[in-house]
Order: sequence, then structure tokens, then C-alpha cells
Amino acid sequence: MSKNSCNRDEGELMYTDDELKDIASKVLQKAEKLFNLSEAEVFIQSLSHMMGGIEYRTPKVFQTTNRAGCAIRFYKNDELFFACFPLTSVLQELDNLEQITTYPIASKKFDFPEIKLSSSSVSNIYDKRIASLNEEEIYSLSYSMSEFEKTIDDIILDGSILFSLEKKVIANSTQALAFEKSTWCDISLRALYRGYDMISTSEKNLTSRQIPSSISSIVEDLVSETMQRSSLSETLSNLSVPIIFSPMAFSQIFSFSLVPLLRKPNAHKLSTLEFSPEFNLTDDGTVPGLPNSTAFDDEGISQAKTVVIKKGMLEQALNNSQFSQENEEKTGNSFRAKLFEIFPRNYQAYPDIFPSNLLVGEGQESYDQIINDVGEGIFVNSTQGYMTADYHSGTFKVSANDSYRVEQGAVAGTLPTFDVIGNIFELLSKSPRFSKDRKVVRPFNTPYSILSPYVYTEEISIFL
Amino acid sequence: MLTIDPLESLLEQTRKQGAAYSDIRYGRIEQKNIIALDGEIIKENNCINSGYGIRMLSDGIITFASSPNIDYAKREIEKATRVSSLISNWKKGIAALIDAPVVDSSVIKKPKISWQEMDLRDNKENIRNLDDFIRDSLKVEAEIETDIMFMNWSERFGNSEGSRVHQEYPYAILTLTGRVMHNNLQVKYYQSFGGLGGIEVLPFDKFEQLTHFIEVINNLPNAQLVNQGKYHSILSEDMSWTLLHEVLGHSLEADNVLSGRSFSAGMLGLKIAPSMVSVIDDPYIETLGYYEYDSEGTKGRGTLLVDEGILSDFLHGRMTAAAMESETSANFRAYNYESLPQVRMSNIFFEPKDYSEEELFETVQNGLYIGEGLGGSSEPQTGEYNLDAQYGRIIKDGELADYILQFQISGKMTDTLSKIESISDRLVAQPGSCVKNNQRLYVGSVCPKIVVTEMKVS
Repeated sequence: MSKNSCNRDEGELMYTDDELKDIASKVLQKAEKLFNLSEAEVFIQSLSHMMGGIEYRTPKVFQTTNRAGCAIRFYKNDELFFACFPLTSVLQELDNLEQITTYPIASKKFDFPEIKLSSSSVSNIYDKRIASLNEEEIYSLSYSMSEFEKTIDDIILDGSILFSLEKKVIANSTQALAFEKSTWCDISLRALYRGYDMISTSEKNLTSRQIPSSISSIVEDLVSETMQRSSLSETLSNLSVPIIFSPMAFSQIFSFSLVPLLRKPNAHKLSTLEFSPEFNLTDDGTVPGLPNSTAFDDEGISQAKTVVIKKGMLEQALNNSQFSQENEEKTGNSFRAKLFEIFPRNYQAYPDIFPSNLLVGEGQESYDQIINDVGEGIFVNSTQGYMTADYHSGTFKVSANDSYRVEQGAVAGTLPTFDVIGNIFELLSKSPRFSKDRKVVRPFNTPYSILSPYVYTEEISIFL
Repeated sequence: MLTIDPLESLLEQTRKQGAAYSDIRYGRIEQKNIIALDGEIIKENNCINSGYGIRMLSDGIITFASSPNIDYAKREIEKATRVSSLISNWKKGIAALIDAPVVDSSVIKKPKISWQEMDLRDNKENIRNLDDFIRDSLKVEAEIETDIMFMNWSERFGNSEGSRVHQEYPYAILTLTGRVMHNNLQVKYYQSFGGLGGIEVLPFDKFEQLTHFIEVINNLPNAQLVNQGKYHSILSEDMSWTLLHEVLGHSLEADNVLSGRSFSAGMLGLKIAPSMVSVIDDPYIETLGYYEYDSEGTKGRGTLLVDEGILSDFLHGRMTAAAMESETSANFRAYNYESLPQVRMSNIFFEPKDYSEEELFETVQNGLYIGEGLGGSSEPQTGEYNLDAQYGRIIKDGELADYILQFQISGKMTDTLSKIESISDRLVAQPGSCVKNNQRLYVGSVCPKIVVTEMKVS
């Protein structure tokens, strides 16, 4: 380590653990005293990102982003209100809380939950290496992503590696306080290859709680995929063939067309549907190492393993305090997330129901066995951009921009971009085949992850 | 006791640390979001956010730090300086800024009726009245959602060259979403109103603006599915803008050009469209895309991007202008202090031509009218796109006829540009937004209608 470099230890962050807990208590006390509130909840988020980036022909960029804010939710005259402030000024801004909050949130009256935990109890969500990384190490890791540019002509690599340290505190009028700190590593990488007769691009977005053991192997895979795509271009002729979705492609479709129905207020639709008995779905925020495992959700409720769909039938919907019955078991799925952000967890968002880690049940066959059975088909590796999906009807339409022809049990040539149109309810009802192999994906713009198998279906239409 | 301006204090520190260039933005956003369902308010979110964004250029390395806390911002400056010195022997990109005039300016836009000053009971009544008006005009069962966003955006900018800019803008947006049933499936349509200003830019006392929304909702339950094919088409103002912004516009952002994400790279000076087509980006149209100075303190100006069919310019910030030996067009922007600015469009539009709306329909006679855009995707390297339209209408004998349910248009932008047949004489502005590299920014959706001789529809 260079003498000039600087360790980013706990003492260097904006607020120490104790300071954050102290502010949470003070905000709660002040709110209760000023406005005679007896039911209030304070959520504090302190977030620190360090990001190294590589970008072709534009400057190398090193970014640090720090966020510290406080959200307060409270009842006054049995009406629920919500507001958020920067942590630097929350104690002063609180004086205007009554003027700022004008309209109550329509909600049945619910109790803020009793907080039972005082600190994190999930292992593998806090990596001391990430918390203490210095600038030189981060830059070195991000720079290593571009090494392949030197060895292969016509390959362009750009992207970023983002390390995040989040601390959150939840305090409410039950007089208990929950505190947790977690780390994340997000790698976003794009390769562009100017091959023999076409330009091809591929992207990878990976989220983990620790530093990946080999960043160079991630880059190597991406480069190889990109080069393969440019050299095996084929046209699509037969459109009535089975499709095999990769975990990445299936997760994108699944997250837009089915995940909204897993929330308590929407789940009644699921109870009217009968999926294939092969389809099982669990939400589990306690699995060590999965991207969204936490000790407790953003209301302070302990994370849990919830069997959502068992053998094709709805078992239990995901809930939070606001959307659960008084004596109903809480599933711990209240999260504050702003979509369209690189790191969606954000104190400014009103707590809503999101999955933590969704586990789609695995099947009996391996991916290779499924592919071996296919005489003629299409393997969709990834989808692109905006997607049209309607969870009321289950219909979806998405562009498949990284797909391959499957012929006589083997993946063959690259196909041009085409549209995939289908219905997720039908796909999951009519004999889908799930592979034994599963991969973790964080769907674009979502705060949760999906552990998904490869999925074979004959229920999809293709449009060129 | 003399109080030192925190912005000056941070700039002084960057000077002491030896930065070749630095700029600081102190931003504060006050925001209120209200959601009402069928006229009753069901949700309100209040948010205040403030802090510092610090960009430094040292030894060819760009660093950016943001912090809500002044003391911590100072520590981030020290850290950024260390980064630049640590990695000075590594491969660098193009890191220089083109010259820009030093400015000292203050721009404060005040709303006529501020949401912070109005009686909020009136606001509640406004929402109810609006919903009542819609209900009275509806002939079908529909769920109506009203989303309102009020925002006061302010930013102080200072750089090491001596520029100082203070800007304050108020915004108000109202989005109506109607949901109706179509053959047991729910379909929806939304339309946004408002822009730069306060309550006065919302349609509370201008119910005539709701006519189009009501008409679409009334007709969606009986709308037909589209017949796939190629149509002689009129694109609504919003769909013209969606096509222009998403596909051509992003390809004209110089950072995309430099990083290989643009099919327009290498086409400067070439004919890319018929001579009737000119494309302009102008931040001075009073919409959500309005600003007078960008996020590096450069005075905004209109940019002629396509001049009578010839690609004449790209959108730039000071860095991309230096890299491409051009001038900044003052398009380097970020929504708030937390983000490093990027090259962004403001109000991009096709220059209106002499065709009245009636003449457009006369030209087409039989074809398809393509309603407001819903979103879509495009391949930046090739200009291929798929965009969704919220609805459409058959054009029969030069008149609007049956409604069509949500559908998709697709094609290749260079091909579509070559098929533009006519452009209407009227710009229509609506609120719009754009997401680039996970940064959302409000922009103006401003465009005239255009006629395309052959549009692929599915």
C-alpha cells in the first residue's frame, strides 16, 4: 500500500455508528415532544459510494458519493404523514414538520413494529475489505477491467466498479432501535467489438456483498461472449420454436410481469391462478451472501424466509406493517427504494413492499440436458432496454438482443435482435422446464435479486 | 463575526490542493408529491435534499465527490487530490476543458402561485374539481389517478476560473392516468401537464386541456388491435419527440459519440435527412427543459443540430468540446448535486414547417395516427429502435377514425429520417423526462407532428 493512500475506515465516514444512533434517538424525541406524537418512526440512512470508472476515449473518473438523510413517518390525530430531510439539518427542519406535511396518507391504522434486534445478525453482508478500501485499491481494481484492451485489437471496454457502505438506523415509538451496516460491490461492464462484418456489444451487471475473487475472469467471459456474437451472425427463419431463457433474460421478464403480484395488496390475482406444480417461489432475505440479505427490513422487522408459491399455488404474499392484518405474520419486506438509480436503496422513498431475494425453484435437469433435448430452438441470453409488461394480464413484450439458434442439441449462431411476446401466466402454467443450475441476477432498476434457473418454454411468440 | 461562504471555502481548498480546475455546486431541492385516486388524496411525500457536488481536474484525472456535509466535503477534496497523484502514470483519457467565458449571474424564476404559499385546502378542492369534471365527461367506467409533483430547485455554482451562477426554478407537473377494462384486461392511458412555474401551469382552471385525455379514455374500451404492417403515418407531437429524443438525440450527445455509443459518429457534415428536416436543441423554451446556465456555468444557447437535412453539430459540455475540438453548447447537466453531470438534451425538437394539421391529414388520406409515446429502446450503435405508442387511430379519407390499442413502432433511424414527408407548423410542449446512465433528468417534450411515409407497426 502506498504511503500516500488513505484507509477508509469507520472513523473517516461522515457519521460514526454511535452518532447515527444518537441522532435517531434525538429526532424521535424531538418529534414526540414538539408535536405530542406518540407514534412515530425514524429511518436514517448513511451511504458512502466509491466508484472507479473506465471509459473509452474520455477521462478516467473517480467518484465518491455520500448521502445521509432521515425519513420520519408519524401519526397525528390518527392520520399518517411522511417527510424526509438531510441529516445535517433534520433537527432544525423538524420545527417546520407540521407545515411541510399537509395531506395524510390513506392507510388503515397500523402499529409501528416492535423492534427486537439491536444489531446485524446476518453474516456475509459486511465485508471489512470493502469498508476499508482505499482510493488506490479501488482505482487499481477498476483499471484492471480495461487490461484486455491491450491484448485484443478492436475491443473497447468501459464500465465501473462501485463499492458501497450503507448504515441504517430505525427507531420508533416502541423505544427500541435497530442498526445495521452492509457493503456492496456492483460491477457494470460493457464490451464493444468491431468484428469481421459487424459491431457487437455485451453487458454485464453483477452485484455482490463481497469483492469478487477474480474480476479478470468476469471481463474475460464478457469479451469472449462479445467476440462470439460478432462472428456467428445468422438470420431467423423458423419462428415457431421453443425458447430457452437464461436466468438473466427470465428474471427481467419475471420482475416486470409477475413480481408486482407478490405484494399483499395485489396478490389476490395470484390466488385465482394455477401454475405448473413445477413452479415454486420463495423470498428469502436471510441467505448469507445473496445481494439483498439483511438482518431486518426498513421498518425494523426481522427478515424471513417466505414460501410464496408452492407447487404452483399461492402460499403467502409479501407484506409490510401497512399492508398486513393485525395478527398476520410479517414477512419483513418493507424497503425504501427509488427506481432508475444505480443504487436504489434511498431514505427518500416511502417504504413499500419489495422482495429481498427471490428464489425460483430449481428443476431436475441441467441446462446442458435441456439444450441437448432441443432439435430446433432459440436461446435468449439477454433482453434490452424498455419492456412492456402488464401484471394484470401477465402479457409482456421485450426485445431479445443477445440470442442464439439452438440446433440438434447445441447452441449455434448468433441471431439478430427480435421481439419476444408472451404471457407469464401461460408460460408458468403450461409445462415450463426449469434447470437445476441457477444464477443470481439483479434485474435492471430493481432493489431485489432473483436466483433463477434457465427456463424452457413453448409458449412464446417471436416477432421480427 | 465574518462568515465565509461555504462554496468559496471549498473552492479555496481545491486551489490549495493544486487542482488545475475545480467547480462546486451547492444544490437544494424542496419537493412535494401528491397522489390522488378518484379525487381523494391517498399519499403525500415531502422531501428536502441539499449538499455539495465537487468536480476537480488534476493530472488528467477527473474526480467527483458529493456530500451533504461541508466538513466531509473538505475531506473528500483531499481524497480526490490523492487519487490524481496516485494514478498519474496510468493511461488517461482526453481530459481538458474548452475555454468558456467567466460569468457572474443570478437567475431566479418565481411561480405566479407558489405551492408553498397557497391554502392547501384549495389544492385538495382543485383535485376534487378536476376529478369531478373528468367523471362528468366520462362515458365508461374508469379509475383515475392524479399525480402531482411540486418542486423548488435551486443551485449555486462556482468554479476556479471565477464564474459564479445562482439559479432557482419552480416546477409543477400533473399526470393523469386512466385505467379502463378492455376484454377483461386492464389498459391505461396517461397524459402530463405543467412544467416551469407554480400552480398556475396546472390545468386546475383550464379544464379544456383535459378534453383529449377524456376522449382517449372513453374510446379505449372499444379500441382494436393493430394490424401489423407498414403504414403511412402521422406521429403525434409526443411520439415525434420520443423518436427524436430517444434515437437521434442521444446519438448526438458528444459523450456518447466519443464512447462509441452513437450511430451518428462520423456523419458530421453528411446529409442524413430530407432538406425539410432541421433539428434544434433549445433550453430557452419555458418547459421542464428550461435553464439559462448548465451545470458547469456556461450560458445556454440553442444548437442547430441538423440543418436542412445535414448533420451540423453535436451537443457538448466543455470536456467533450475540447476532445472534439468544438465549442460547448452548454448541455452539461445533472439533476442534483449528488451526480456528476453528463451531456444531456434540453428541449430537442424538429423545426416546425408550413403544414397545418389539416394539410397533414390530407397528405396521408389513409394511414395511421400514432398517439403519445410510452417509452422504448434503441441500439445506440446502429440507430435501430422499438418504441411503444399508448394508442393509435386509423386515418380514413383524411379523417381520424377508429382507436387502436397500445402498439409498437420500429425501424432504423437513418431510414425513418429519410421517410419524413412533412412537418406541422405548431410546437406542442409537455413535461418529459430522460434517464441516462441511471440519472433521471426532467426535460421538455416539445415537437410538432410529423408525417412518415412508411412506418413499421406491430
